[in-house]
Amino acid sequence: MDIRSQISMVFHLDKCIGCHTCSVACKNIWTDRKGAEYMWWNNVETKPGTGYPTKWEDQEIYKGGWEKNGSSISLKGAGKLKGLKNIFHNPNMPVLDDYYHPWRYKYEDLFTAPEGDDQPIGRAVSMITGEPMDIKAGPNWDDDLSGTPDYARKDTNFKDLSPGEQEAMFQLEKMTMMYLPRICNHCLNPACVASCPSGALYKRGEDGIVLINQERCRAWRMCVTACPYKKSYYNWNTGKSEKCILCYPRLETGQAPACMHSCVGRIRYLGVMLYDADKIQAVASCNENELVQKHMDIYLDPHDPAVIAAARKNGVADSTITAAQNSPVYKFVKEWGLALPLHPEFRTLPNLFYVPPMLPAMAQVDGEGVYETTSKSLFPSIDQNRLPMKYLASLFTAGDTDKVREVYDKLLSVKMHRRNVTVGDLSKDEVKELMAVAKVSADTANAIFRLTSLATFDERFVIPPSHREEAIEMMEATADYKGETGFGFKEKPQRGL
Amino acid sequence: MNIHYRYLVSFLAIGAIFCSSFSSMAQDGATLFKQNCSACHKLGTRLVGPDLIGITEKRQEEWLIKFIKSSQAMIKAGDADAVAIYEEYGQMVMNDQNLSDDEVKAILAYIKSESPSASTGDVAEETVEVEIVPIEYSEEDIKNGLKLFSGQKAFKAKGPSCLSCHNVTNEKLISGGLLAKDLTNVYARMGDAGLAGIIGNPPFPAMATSYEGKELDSTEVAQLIAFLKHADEVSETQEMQIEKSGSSILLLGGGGGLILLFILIGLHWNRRLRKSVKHDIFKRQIKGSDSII
Repeated sequence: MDIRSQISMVFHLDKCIGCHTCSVACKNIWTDRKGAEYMWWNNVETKPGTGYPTKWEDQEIYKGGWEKNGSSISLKGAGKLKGLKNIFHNPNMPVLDDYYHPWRYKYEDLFTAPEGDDQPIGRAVSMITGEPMDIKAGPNWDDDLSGTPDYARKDTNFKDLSPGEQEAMFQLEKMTMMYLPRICNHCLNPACVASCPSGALYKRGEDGIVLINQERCRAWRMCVTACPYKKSYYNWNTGKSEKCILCYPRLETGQAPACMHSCVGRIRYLGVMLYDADKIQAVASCNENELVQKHMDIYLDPHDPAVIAAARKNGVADSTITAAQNSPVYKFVKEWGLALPLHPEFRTLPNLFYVPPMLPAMAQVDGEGVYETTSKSLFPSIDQNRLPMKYLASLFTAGDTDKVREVYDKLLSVKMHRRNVTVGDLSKDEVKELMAVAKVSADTANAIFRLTSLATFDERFVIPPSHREEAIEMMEATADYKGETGFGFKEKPQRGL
Repeated sequence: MNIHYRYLVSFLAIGAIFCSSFSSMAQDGATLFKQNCSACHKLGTRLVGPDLIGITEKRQEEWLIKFIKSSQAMIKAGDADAVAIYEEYGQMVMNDQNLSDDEVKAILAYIKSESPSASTGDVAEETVEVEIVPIEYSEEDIKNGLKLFSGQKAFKAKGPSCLSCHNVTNEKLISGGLLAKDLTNVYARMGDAGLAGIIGNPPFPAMATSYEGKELDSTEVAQLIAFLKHADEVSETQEMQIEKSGSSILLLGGGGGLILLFILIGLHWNRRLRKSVKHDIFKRQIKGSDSII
């Protein structure tokens, strides 16, 4: 056993209101720089939709992630030979238009334009060239199903759905959507790290955050191709690639990442998971139908004495183990089995898990064309979910609808149980039966309810102390470090000090 | 004052030693001769360089000292005798010897002591040139010699391989170093004995330092000579081949290869994403709009 700690996340999609506050918080802190204008390390997509960059899920276009190769796996679009072949011209990268051409408005013209017959306007100017431009697309122009013929209908996840099923999703009164906020998954088996010819990408040992060393990056952009989630971006100004850093400077000081801290719907949870690094290869290269289960199994019980002993032996701090025991992510993912990884078929073993949304099925058009709004129970059954199981399975379980159904059974039973606790107008037997099927006890249901709706800041974000002092001690004397932190120069000023 | 006094003392001391051990000077000379001269010179026969018996009779001591210290300077300066010797010995220069006047004198004393006392000055001239019978080497020796020369096989005493400083034009060798002389035809110039002397006891300062304490043993020397002899013999025919075809093949191959590479790159990159995945969306938008740009 090679026990390591990993900062993992859960996004509860039922709570996401699609406000993009997370994206703006991230943009303001990290990507509001020249060359990074087009990057959205955090973005919120509408599903069905093509996302950002457009059609990122379609690996036939972008060749991201891993593919099974016999008993092992290999990178789809990068790697040793493929990478070498394409090292001077990587053919599978998104172009700027696949993201969008970033622009701003020249508002100053409103004030400085000379008097004339026409009203001055704030024209759109490119943030890359500075020239006036026609805006053709934005990073979230598929938001809330806008531009459906162009975006939502071209969703890659429709591949398993029959044309009839697809059409049903776009019928009036049945039309539906969900939000999918995305950041870097800080994967256990990151394709970006594997693809880098310069070895600039690395996964931090202490918390599993995947970072790009800006000094070693040589702009080969293999990570841009390799990341199946398209969360590695090329900064055209610095000539280096960049990606979500999970706000590690904030984490190191005990603060939640900016996107999570600012989340209005409080959908985001962050905590430590302990996993067995020895199993990564076996899990990443297993059959597709076992992928989700094996991925879940790689995370270990932080209360198990054997796991604790092995973790300690591996240098995991006691404070981290305690954080793992209190981790909300562990509860959602392992204890309750409510959260699923996004596109596990990319085989990168992502560490960001999603609790799929319960969408109310308000009505159906029956065979005689009657708009049927009645249903037997207060909460309609899972089969009436407007988002077809197959669609959700394509997103979260590599096509395994049973796994998605399992999660929905649990979510529904919690909902029914709480309704009975607070209102008590449902048939007790029916609720009991439902909870028995979902294997959820009353206590568990209450705990799920609590962490979902009433959790405090400290319950949602259990951030382990980073023990940076130990890292500093390894490199230099702590007293020197303290004396030099904050002020000083990396390069001495020409006039001298 | 102090310094002057010290100088005086040391001068006196050296003088005393010089006087008292004049007889032992010949013996020092023997050692020095062995170390510095014997690679190329012998007393009694001509080796690489001339036979030195009676040389002290034939030349002025002053001239000899000058020549031994820097024959090359003398040749450059146009000393008639020096140039004549240079021409006679196939324009092979003698190395400048880093010896003091006293040491040279010691060597000369040794030569003098070895020379027949009733020297008439013609002895050296009349020395019968011994016809050196070239030794026959086996194929095995040549093969081993090649390995030793190229460094494929290390010398027993771990001395550096010859190739690091010397070049020999041979089809079985990559081109060697340019730090020292090209040895392709060295066998023709020096012969078995000369080579054996130089390889076994290098008179050249850089070579001597490189092999100090890492002397080659006699088998290794013999194998190297075998290879050098072979290289000399085949050098003519091989050079012809390279001159004829080498450069043109390289040029044609390079040019052709480049074109082929471009074609391959073109074929491969033909599959690249040429347009944005949003191309269709943009096209549809533009159809219905009157673009301002």
